[in-house]
Amino acid sequence: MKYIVMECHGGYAVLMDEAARFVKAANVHYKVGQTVTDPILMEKVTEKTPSRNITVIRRFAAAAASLAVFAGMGYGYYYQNVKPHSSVIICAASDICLSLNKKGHVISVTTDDPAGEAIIKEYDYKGKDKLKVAGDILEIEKSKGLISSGDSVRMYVNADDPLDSDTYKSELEDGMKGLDLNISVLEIGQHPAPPDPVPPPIQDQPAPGKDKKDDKPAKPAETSGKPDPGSESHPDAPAPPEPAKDGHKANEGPAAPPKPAHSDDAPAPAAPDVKAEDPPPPPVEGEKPAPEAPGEDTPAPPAPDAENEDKPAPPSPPEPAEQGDDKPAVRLPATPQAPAAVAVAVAPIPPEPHEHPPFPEDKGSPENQPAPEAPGPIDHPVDPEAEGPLS
Amino acid sequence: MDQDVQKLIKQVYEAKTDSHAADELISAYMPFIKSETARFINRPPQPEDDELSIAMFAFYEAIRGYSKLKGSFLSFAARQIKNRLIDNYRKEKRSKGLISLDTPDEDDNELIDTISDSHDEYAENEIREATQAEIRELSAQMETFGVSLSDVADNSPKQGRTLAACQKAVAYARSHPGILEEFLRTKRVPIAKLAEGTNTERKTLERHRRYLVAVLLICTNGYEIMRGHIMQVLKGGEIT
Repeated sequence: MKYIVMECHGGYAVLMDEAARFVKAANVHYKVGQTVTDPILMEKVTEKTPSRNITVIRRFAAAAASLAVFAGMGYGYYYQNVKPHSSVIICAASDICLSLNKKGHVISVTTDDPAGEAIIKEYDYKGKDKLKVAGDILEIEKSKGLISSGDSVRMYVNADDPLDSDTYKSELEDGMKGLDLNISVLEIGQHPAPPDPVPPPIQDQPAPGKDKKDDKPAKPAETSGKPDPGSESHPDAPAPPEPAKDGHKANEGPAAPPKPAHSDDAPAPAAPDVKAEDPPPPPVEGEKPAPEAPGEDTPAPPAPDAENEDKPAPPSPPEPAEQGDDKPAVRLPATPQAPAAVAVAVAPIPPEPHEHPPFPEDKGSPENQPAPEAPGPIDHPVDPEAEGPLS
Repeated sequence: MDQDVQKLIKQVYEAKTDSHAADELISAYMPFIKSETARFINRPPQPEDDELSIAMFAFYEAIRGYSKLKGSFLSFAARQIKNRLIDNYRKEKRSKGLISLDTPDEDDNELIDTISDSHDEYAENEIREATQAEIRELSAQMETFGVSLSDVADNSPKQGRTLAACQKAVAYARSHPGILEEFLRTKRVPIAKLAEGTNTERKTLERHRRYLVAVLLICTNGYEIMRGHIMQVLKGGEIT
């Protein structure tokens, strides 16, 4: 292609080609008006025009960025104003829950109580501060006569942030001072109401194990019959007399046994008799020490029955008494001597001699293997007689 | 030291848009350009050496392409000069198998003397002078529009599609003498009419207004040689 030299400068020349392009080229001794064919053209200054893909990507990125910004702003608004971050439960005439946003303003008020719903209906809480709403609600309750001056009101605060919780507590405590009410503000975790009623039912159910330990009547059992081991062995002991049937009754049985032991402790005279009769029980224990040790402890319950009649206070005794009755009934045939007297006497005595041996065996055999205990009691009726002659 | 660097950078940025400032900067840094050329050709460059011209052109390219992000200007310019000289060396090397017309033959006559010369040097000089006259007149007329040839070279369309759009507008103006008359009378490029008549983006024509000024002036009477040079395009020939 031919170029006409249009202009010459020290460092370059302006050329015009046949396509009417004006270009800059190296001025290799050119003269204006000269026609050249092979100039050294200036490299295109890299004003890189972004490619279509890059342009699309940039536009997409810009749209995404703007979308992210708007989404972030929206979430920020939601987080600050709409999302519930904490709640305040007002326990006055009715339980009313205030849901608060991050700023501490009330965003919703809920209650399950019809009286509370009536209060809420009449009150516009939106956008108001928690102190204002709480105070207004209490005022409304006072005006309706649901509460009166001097009544105690509890408020429970639940916040995501412990700092907010503390702040709200202090604010509520300070802000409610103007009201003539005894207001206590607690954290939701401090809701102590439920724990109080719980203990009574516990006493009723676990009577066997816990009653003996916790209740005063149980303590004597511990002293006389070597409490814990004996009580633990009790469940196993009842099992032997009625192996297959009273699987779980044995658990109830153990509770009874210790008490009878106490009752028997009192009748000291019986002890010597029992000691005289001790020989027979040992052989039984030799065979099945674990079952009988508890069993001997358990048989004690019958005696407590007598005590129970004297002291009806503990509810558990009556039940063990029945079991105790059942157990001795089974043993009676086994013992050669007078059944009732033996049953009462044997129970208290054995604990002392058996205390040491039975523990290891009791723990091993009765707890882990109730089955082996079953054969033991079955043998009882036979053993005493068989052992007697054998010994 | 920092002041000198800052001053140099300021001069470079001025020279980017001002051709006179570029010429002054090139003149001021001729020793630097010569030293860089000498390092490449391993001898002091002479004024008639092509390498020196290429080095000066490379220095000008460095001025146009420099950015503060590219570090020191002189380092950048030295690299630019070296690269240009290497490119030229490779280009020359490619045509090394050719025999120079100045090569003496057996009778000690140069080869160029044995070739019949079809050129009429006298006619060529006349044409060159005529061309120079046209260019001078064109430059003078362009000044009235506030445009220089360097500006036109900078504003000339680079992409074929844009060049075609501009050529289309020029052809439309040639076919509508009223537009050219209006252009000369008002000294303003009738962008709206050209865009409307050629169904071209007005923005495209607006971006290359100075280029259109030069080409539209060439299309007017008085620039026969230059018009003949670009006649192929003006007739609607393909642009290569």
